[in-house]
Amino acid sequence: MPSVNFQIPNRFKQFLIFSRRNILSKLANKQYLLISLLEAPILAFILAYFSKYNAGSTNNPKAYLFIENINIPAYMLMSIIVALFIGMLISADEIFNDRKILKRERFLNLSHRSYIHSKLFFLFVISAIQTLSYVLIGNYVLEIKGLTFHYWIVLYSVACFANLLGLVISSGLKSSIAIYILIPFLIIPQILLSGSIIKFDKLNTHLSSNIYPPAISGLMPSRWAFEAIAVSQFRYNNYQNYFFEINKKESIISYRLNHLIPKLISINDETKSLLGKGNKNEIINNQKIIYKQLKNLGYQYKTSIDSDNETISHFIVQTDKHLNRLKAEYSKKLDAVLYQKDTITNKLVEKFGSTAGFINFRSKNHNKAVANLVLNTDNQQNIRLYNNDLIRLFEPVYQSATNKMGREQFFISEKKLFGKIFNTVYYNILIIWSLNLLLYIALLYNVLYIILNRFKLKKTLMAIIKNK
Amino acid sequence: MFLRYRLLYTILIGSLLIIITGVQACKLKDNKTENTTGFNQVSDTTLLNNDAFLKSEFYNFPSAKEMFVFIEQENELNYKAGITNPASNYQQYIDTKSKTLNLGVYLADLTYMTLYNRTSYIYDYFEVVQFLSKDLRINIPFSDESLMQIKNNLSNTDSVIFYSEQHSNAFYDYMVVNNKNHTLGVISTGSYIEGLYIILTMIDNYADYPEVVQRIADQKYTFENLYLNLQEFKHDPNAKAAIVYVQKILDVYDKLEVQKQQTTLTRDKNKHMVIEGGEKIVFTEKSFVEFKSLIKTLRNNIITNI
Repeated sequence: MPSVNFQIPNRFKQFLIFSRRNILSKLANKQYLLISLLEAPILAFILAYFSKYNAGSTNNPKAYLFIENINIPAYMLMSIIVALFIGMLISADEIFNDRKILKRERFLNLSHRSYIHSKLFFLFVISAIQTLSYVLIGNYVLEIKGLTFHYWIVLYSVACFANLLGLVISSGLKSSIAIYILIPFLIIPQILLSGSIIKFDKLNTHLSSNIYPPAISGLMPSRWAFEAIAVSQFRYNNYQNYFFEINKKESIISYRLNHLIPKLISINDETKSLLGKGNKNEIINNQKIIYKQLKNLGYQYKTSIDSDNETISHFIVQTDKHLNRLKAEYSKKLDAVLYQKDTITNKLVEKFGSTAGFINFRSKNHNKAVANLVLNTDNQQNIRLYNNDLIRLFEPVYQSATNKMGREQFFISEKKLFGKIFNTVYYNILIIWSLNLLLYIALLYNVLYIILNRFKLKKTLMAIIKNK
Repeated sequence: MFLRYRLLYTILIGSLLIIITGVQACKLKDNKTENTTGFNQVSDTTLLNNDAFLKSEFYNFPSAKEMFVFIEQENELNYKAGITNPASNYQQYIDTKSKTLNLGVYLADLTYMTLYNRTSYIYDYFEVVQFLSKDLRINIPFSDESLMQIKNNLSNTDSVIFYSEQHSNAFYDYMVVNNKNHTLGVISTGSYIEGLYIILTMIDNYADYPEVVQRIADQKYTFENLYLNLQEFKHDPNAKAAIVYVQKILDVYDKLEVQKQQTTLTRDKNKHMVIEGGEKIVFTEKSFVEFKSLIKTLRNNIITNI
């Protein structure tokens, strides 16, 4: 027998060959190339130009002030949707279009993984270029300063998610019509559950959580991306870099002085009114709430929680005294923080040469609409009693991370993971890439195809059983 | 203690009082027999012997609502446009001093707008008051609801007045309950200076409104009280800045001639006892012009954040 010289190249070589073939076929298609590379910057220009709301200044009614542009949150959401759309459009028929070649090559025992990796490599590179050009143009038109990397890394992560999702449906479905019909079904929930169009606490009550974003939104990269971009725009702009820490301090004190202490006073007053009316459970619950909150503020009770009237009376008096003392203390602390903030402001006024220089700096970097969004200023409820605990809803972006696995309120600026604190931008990117990993596994193992065929198999079996 | 809070409050809402007392003076210039003080009425003559009471209660002015009813009924004072601090200026107040002083300025402007039923501006001023309050972490309960109600009821003057007054009361309560007397003192300074500025700008000619001029002269005691209150917080940087403003005003007041008059108690048509007389501070035309110029300068310094 003559020796066979044909040897299947190793996986890496196959990857290179598949990639080369992929790139050459794309380069041959000038129309594809042109549309793929130009659609993102053109869309960026159109969206940014239309979103560039000129609020005007006292001197110039047509002046554009970034601080006053109310469309920045809308631009953030649209950017995410654009990343999802274009990411999915370039990938959704990639595998489907190759089905004839794949059929021909099936007997060569080539590596499926190498093929998938070559597709991913090409798509990830295209998406990187698309999202970068999008961010450069869009942020330039809207005069968003100093956040190019943050915008890009978030949009790029989302676009990669879309690439993977596109490849999954491309490998699982059998017609291009089915693929394109499915795309809106995958995109619309992303818009709905992004936390932008409908606020999470205003969703159907069966879905919404009292405090946190609903669990289903966790599957939507749009939710993670929107939070990441919003927090990034507020937290990491050049202006807020100087003030974030002091503002956070101010927010904590203000919350305690203006919301927590008055709430505890009202609970204590309620306990007083319940005394002697035989409603012991409610009294004990109230005591527990106060006890826990004051313990968090560093106060240790001399008496324990008990249901006898004398102990309760003592508890009420003690609480009353301590809350009044705390109020005076926090009032002073608030003044001190406000003066510290003045010191920073004065230094910046000096740095920029004048008050006008400082105001100009603020106008170019800070955006009120984004601030209102992440500070949740529309929400009148700043504190909520939930499961016998008082939950702070006030200014979520200034809250500190508490949950070990990062389950926090929407727009918090930091999250914990295994006890380590991450800023929300990187934490959320990590989550998006975890979703990407799941899709990658689904793609490698052709999960959608298997599910759909099992469904088909089951249907066929049922039909056979019925016929018998 | 309570009297002091109350006094500060009356000073706060009462840049209005300057406007109002000026208005009253205009209304009453042909009727000398009526209560010309326009101030507090007492029903117990023994109070006359109580200096502390006289000092503290003398400046307890009628509320915004009472004043509004008065103006609405007798509708004689002409509104002057463009004399308030433009609402758009609030963005240039970047530190607590300028924010606090100008919060007082805007509260006075809001009262002026409310009094003259300039509903198209009331919302803007209310909004600015709210912005600055939030910046200073002054948390007025239901202020967002009040703002919304004002926005939705701009054509309903009674509602606008109601919510505006409700807001003022809540504002005062917050300051007192949260030990913000020093901030209230600074706000009152801004409020008072703006009130004086408005009324002085309305008087083009010194000789035309002698009663109004007399009311302004009588404000010396208010400023003395304000000064004493601010002195209690002189270690606070903002109170210190406010003291400088008040001191400059008192310096001019101190140069004015004081005429001694006999204190009398009369009964008005509603059978209320009315205190009249005592010391009368008198403006000459020259000192009045000087005073007007000073108030204008101080007010401009406050609103331009110098």
